[in-house]
Amino acid sequence: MKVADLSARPAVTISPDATVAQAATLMSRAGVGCLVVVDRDQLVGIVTDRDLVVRVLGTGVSPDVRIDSVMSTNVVAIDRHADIRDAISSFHHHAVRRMPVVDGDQVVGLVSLDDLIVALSKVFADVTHGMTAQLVFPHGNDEPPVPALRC
Amino acid sequence: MRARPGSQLIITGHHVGQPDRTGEVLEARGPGDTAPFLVRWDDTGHVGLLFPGSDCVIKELHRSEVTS
Repeated sequence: MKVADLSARPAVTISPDATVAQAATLMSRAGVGCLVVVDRDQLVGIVTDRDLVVRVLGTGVSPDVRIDSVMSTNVVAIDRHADIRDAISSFHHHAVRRMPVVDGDQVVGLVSLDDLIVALSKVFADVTHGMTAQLVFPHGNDEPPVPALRC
Repeated sequence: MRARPGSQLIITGHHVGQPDRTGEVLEARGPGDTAPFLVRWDDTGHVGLLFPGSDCVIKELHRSEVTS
């Protein structure tokens, strides 16, 4: 399975000179918890709803400050053609919950740890389907395993 | 920011006691050797893509700084 199969949603982007209030409004309207900060088609950062809580509300920063002052930089990304195991490895090694999906240097989507868990749970369900049937209907077509007792 | 294969990438620690994180640039996937960079991290050996921030420094193999 490829990363492109996981990333069903396009990334919602915002300009670095947008304000924190504008970012929060965009998150609300788009129904997302994470924005990719893009400057002239170049990814420069990422900001999550948690960042807004911890770095803005938690510190008393004005919602009128620029979003690039509270965003995270040094963004770990994943190629859309990468195997899902590479995504698992990146989530593990970098302790992040979301990663931009890129094609070359362009952001084409966003994959979250939740997306990964949902996809893996479907695979796991497919694998265990046969086992489940055997557990629910054991030996359905077989003769009774224990012979009748004679008195 | 530009980097070439073999360059050293350094992300400086932001807190007291936090070590710098270093890695080797294996590939620059943007036009003109720009980001994203495919990086092998020295501490874990993991290979992954990175869009570096302004606190990231790129050094050539001979330790002469290319750009930051």
